[in-house]
Amino acid sequence: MASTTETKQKKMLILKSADNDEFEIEESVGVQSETIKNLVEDGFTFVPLPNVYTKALIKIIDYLKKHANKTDSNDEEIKTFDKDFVNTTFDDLFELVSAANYLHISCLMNMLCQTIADRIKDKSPEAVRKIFHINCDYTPEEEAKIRKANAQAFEGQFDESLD
Amino acid sequence: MTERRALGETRSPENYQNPSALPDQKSTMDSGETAVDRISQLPDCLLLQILSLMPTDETLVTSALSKRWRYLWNSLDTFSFSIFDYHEGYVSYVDYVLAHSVSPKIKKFQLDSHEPGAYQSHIDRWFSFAVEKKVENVELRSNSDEEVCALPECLYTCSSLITLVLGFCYFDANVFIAWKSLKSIKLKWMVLSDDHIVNLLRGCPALETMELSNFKGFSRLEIRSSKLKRLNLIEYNDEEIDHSLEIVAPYLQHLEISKSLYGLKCRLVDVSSLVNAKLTFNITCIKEIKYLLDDEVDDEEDSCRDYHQGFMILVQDYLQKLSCASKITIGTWFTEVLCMLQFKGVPIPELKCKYLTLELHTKKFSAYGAAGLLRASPDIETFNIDIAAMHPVANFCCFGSQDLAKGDNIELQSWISGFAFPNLKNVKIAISSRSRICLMDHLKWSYVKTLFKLSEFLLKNASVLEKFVIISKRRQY
Repeated sequence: MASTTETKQKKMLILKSADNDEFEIEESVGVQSETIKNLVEDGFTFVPLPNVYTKALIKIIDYLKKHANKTDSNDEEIKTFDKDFVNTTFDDLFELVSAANYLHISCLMNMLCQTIADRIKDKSPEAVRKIFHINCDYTPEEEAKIRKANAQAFEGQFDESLD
Repeated sequence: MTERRALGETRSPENYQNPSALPDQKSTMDSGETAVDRISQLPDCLLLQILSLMPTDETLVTSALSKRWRYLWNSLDTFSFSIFDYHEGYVSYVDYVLAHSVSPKIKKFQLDSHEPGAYQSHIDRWFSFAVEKKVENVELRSNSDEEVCALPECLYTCSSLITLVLGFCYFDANVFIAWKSLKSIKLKWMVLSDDHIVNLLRGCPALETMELSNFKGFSRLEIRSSKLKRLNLIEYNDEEIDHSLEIVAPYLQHLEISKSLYGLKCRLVDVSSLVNAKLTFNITCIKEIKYLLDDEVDDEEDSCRDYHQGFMILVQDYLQKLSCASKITIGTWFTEVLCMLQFKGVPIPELKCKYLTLELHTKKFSAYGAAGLLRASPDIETFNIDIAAMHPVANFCCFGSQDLAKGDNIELQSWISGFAFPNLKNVKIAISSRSRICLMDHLKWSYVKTLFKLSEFLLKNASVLEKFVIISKRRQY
């Protein structure tokens, strides 16, 4: 009898974050990450993730759980979840994008990169620098030279807002 | 999720791999964001992935941000150009971008042009560049109303292509096509003859998805490849009367036919592997088509009877062909025809459907049609109704309107008394409208009353129901 209950039990994985927190998740949830999938295929059930910190990992596990339960009827629920998911600080976004990249979760990667891209799009270099705290290390002459070389791209109107 | 923090573990800065996460580097701003330039610390591959999601013009602007960004765009493997009006400057600009590209392969090349004629030789040249670099995904569209874009010859035999999107493009029906890796093709606003279709399908042995939007020309779609599993036909673009289309696709699993088909008689000859069918198209009355064509319209009320009856026979045939599909979505027109068929006493064959969705754009709701479909689906587990409230449009034709009015008022409980839904677990009813309207405001409309009658009926008769949701929402479009 013991064997039948065992087979019915869901296979579990333990993920260990860079700050040594451990999380137990279902294998079917975890394998949405290519990195985890490869390890599972090699027989691992304990997965250390030296590049993923607890804060990001908790959010990513949330994401994976939500997307693992995708059915025909909760499409919109997932869309709302995704929208809330990326509505966060840049610090979180960059932490998440590095983590998602390490874990190879392509749909999450696309969503995060698109969120960041949308903040750069249509903006002037000055606005982008302010939004992302980018320090301009060009001399004024160098910058003028670059703008001249790529002149076509600098034509037209930019969005100067920092939204 | 069980969280297990290992005993005795403390966080020490040495454990951090990422220098930017060191606490002493954080200088917190008012907003709670750090003033550290995190984006420039991302590796090139990530920054390029972000840049590749923007129009190529925009990526060049980032070269002025700082030295870190200066040459990044040279490594892009994704290009997206939009040419609004012709000027020599844009040609030299695209040439400049491509001349500086150092990526050995091109993942995606996208070009939208409002005046393709003026650019044709350049377009050919740019795509030759993409083909040489083994481009995998191509999108080429003419956004002009009149000028069609010729498909560059170099693309005909581009074996690296995986997805292809063409809009208002032209190629000769008999050219030699060899897209041996192509998995998905989407063609919009294209006139394609039967020869085009045969030639295309022969040239794409690995094709899995085919989508034809605003299509015109062909009268037969014969898909014999067992790899091609998904076919979407979205809006027919020909107002001529008496056109028909035959679909022979014995391995097809997903079929969508949506939006307006005008008067196109689309026959499903063989779709015996169908799993998922979405038939939300609508048919325009012949009187309206004639009116649009400036033909003489017969004012006689019954003059369109034969026309509609022809389509009712077609719907009966659809129901036979859908009998094995487990997921069915139907639209307003189809639901109305079902209602009329039932008044004629035509039985709906038993369906194996588990997920049934009604997508209705109407202020009316034919509960009789819906109930008939439910009765024919004993296996049904999930039932969704998605109603987009619309203002009624002037009707050219009142064929079947009496039946429809009767169908709205029918007493469901007495009509299918004793009928149960042994497997129905989920019901979701979503009502959306363009204005900000709450459910209360919908209540005075007759379709909502009908809807509630149907809900009551389902609640009484679905013995294993787990979830019943009614949502009112605002529509974006």
